[in-house]
Amino acid sequence: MTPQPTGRRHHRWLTATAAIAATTLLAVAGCAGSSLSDSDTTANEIRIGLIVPKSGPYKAIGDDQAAGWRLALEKLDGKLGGRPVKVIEADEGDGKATALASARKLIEQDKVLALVGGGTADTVQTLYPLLNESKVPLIGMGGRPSTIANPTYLWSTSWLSQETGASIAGYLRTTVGNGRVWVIGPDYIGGRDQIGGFVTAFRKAGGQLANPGGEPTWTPWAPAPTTEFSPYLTKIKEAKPAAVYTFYAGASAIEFVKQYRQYGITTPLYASGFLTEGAPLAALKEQAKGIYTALNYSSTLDNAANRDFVRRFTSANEGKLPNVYHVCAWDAALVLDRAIAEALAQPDPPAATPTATAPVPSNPASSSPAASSAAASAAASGLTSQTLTAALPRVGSIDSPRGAWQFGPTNHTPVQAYYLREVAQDGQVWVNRTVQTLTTLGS
Amino acid sequence: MGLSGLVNPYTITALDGVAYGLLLFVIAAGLTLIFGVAGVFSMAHGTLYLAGAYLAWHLGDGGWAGLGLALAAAVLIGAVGGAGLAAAVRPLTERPLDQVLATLGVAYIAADQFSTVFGAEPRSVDPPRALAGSVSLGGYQYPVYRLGFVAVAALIVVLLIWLVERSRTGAIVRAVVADPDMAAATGLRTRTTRAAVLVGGGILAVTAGVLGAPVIGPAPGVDTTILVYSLIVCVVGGLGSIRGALLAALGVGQILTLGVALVPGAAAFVLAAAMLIALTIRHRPSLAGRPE
Repeated sequence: MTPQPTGRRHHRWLTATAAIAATTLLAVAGCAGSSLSDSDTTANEIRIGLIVPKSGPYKAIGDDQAAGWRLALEKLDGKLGGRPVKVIEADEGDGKATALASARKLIEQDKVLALVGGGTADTVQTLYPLLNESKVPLIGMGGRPSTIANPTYLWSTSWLSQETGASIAGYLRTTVGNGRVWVIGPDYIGGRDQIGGFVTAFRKAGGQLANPGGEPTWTPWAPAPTTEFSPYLTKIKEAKPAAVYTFYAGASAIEFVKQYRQYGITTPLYASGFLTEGAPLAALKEQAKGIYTALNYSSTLDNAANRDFVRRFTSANEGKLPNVYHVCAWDAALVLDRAIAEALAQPDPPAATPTATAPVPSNPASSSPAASSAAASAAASGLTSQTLTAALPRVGSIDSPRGAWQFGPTNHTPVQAYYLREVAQDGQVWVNRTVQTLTTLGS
Repeated sequence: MGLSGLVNPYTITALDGVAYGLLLFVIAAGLTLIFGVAGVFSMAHGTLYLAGAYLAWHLGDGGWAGLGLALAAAVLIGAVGGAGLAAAVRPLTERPLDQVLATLGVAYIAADQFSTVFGAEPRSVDPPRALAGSVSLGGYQYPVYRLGFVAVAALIVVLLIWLVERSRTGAIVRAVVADPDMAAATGLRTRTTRAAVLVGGGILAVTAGVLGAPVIGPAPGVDTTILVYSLIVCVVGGLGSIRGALLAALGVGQILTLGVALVPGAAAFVLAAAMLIALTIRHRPSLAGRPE
């Protein structure tokens, strides 16, 4: 492709420019909107920025997170800590440039008290420096990277990727006895964390891998995610392991399980819960029957909070069952509800930093009168991003549908129970039926 | 005994490579014609595949009627899509970079529309019930649908090679490619020919989506995956060459199956190396439709 000579007919450029302009407008119209209606800003109103994937490959996760968050706000009568809430939504895209632009807009232009969301670990990684710089906390409710050194402004209601595999390793070691386990997963950071967590804990428990060389098998993620698993499945058949352990999510999970069945592999299949959570289970149905997975939630858990949650969710979603993304988003609202109440009751605790001021926007010219008055009134009542952050360690136990949990002091991720689940039919629908509690993990 | 000696993990994997390679060929054949013959740099090819895969999911009912309906719809939508692309890039003739931008824009808008209309969840497409199970090949189970796909794809290969290299239509297309001005001077409608190639390529891509959906199902991001593999096949096979695309697709199919079985972890590297070799060593002077 060489550059073309200039000076071609004028109208062609016009057409192209018009096309590009139209495209841009379409894109902008698709994701702005919500922030434009700014009419009823009351003095007490709190602004929260919800940042989830609304486009791109993780949109399904983002849709679930937004649904879980809205359901919780509905239950709390649209209030957090007794204050009316205005939620401003933004798109995190694939977690890179879009996420950063959206978060900057929420913090600098909308002056939100806190951010909630983050579908993937990439987003959290991208936003982490911005959180430290602006001192606005993020209540993360999705993927969480293993590489966060100082999580002062980062509090996740989800999980650490290594924990899922680690939780089932001891159980699987006992189940297979001296048998070996074949381990396979996708070759990207999330896959390496998920599989690595299992392998480390499994070896520690004295288990051995059936893979050649005793190392896990990685399926390529570049130049495109693997869709063809037959070469690996044929090798598994040859090796005759006692069990297979894997982690895949989304479209890869569907293809992996489908081909596992089509190529007639009869080895028991164990996996990280994402293999059969939400969309993959809905698509696979009976093909997923009998797969054992580990996760920090199952819609069949028998506790009061979960019964209430499932009832509310199914009646709002035509009988559909909730998944772990709904729960983590729901819990993010419970956490903020507690933390805001706590910050209002005790705005200036001894442990908090003395400079309890509103976050300073890097672009003062962008602040609208409404926004600054809201920020001022919030500051007057002692509720700022700073006092909120200082209150987060004091929220205590969260009465979650997954069972009660609280933030760990090191990583600010839940100290929570992990469950062994088996895919089974419950009436017309396929569910991850709880078999037993595996262990409690978190830091 | 002789047969069961032939069936071992590597021949089963190689058979998969053939099925996968033929799927890549049916997808990429349209693109190599669009690139090489019509001279259009289309980044919306994966989008057409994804449209076909969603058709198969939406219209599929587990029987032959659903598949037939999806295939009929694929021809219609492929033709409309191809004609639409032809209209969109017509003002951009001989401006490849602008064609890339324009078709990429179309692909982005379409991807957004797909997830609005069909939902953002990945979908699973089952083949017609008659082809849904697996057969036993010397102790190994093999999906029947893939065997059926190999047969249908082989038919498409023969038809395409005949159409492009033996038929009168193919002769006109090749004439327009070799020397557009001379072809126009002898009374051939070059513009119509180029548009027809885009329509044909569109039909091929959407049809591939319907047939390929049980193997590579519809989900957000699949359009990009398909585009990447198609581009690799086009580059390695040589733009505009059907036979080249066939060899390249079968090669890529083997790299992604037998390759990962023999040398785990090297597949991505081998694919990149194959493209590099194709671009540096093989220099085809003034290949049809390629801008100089």
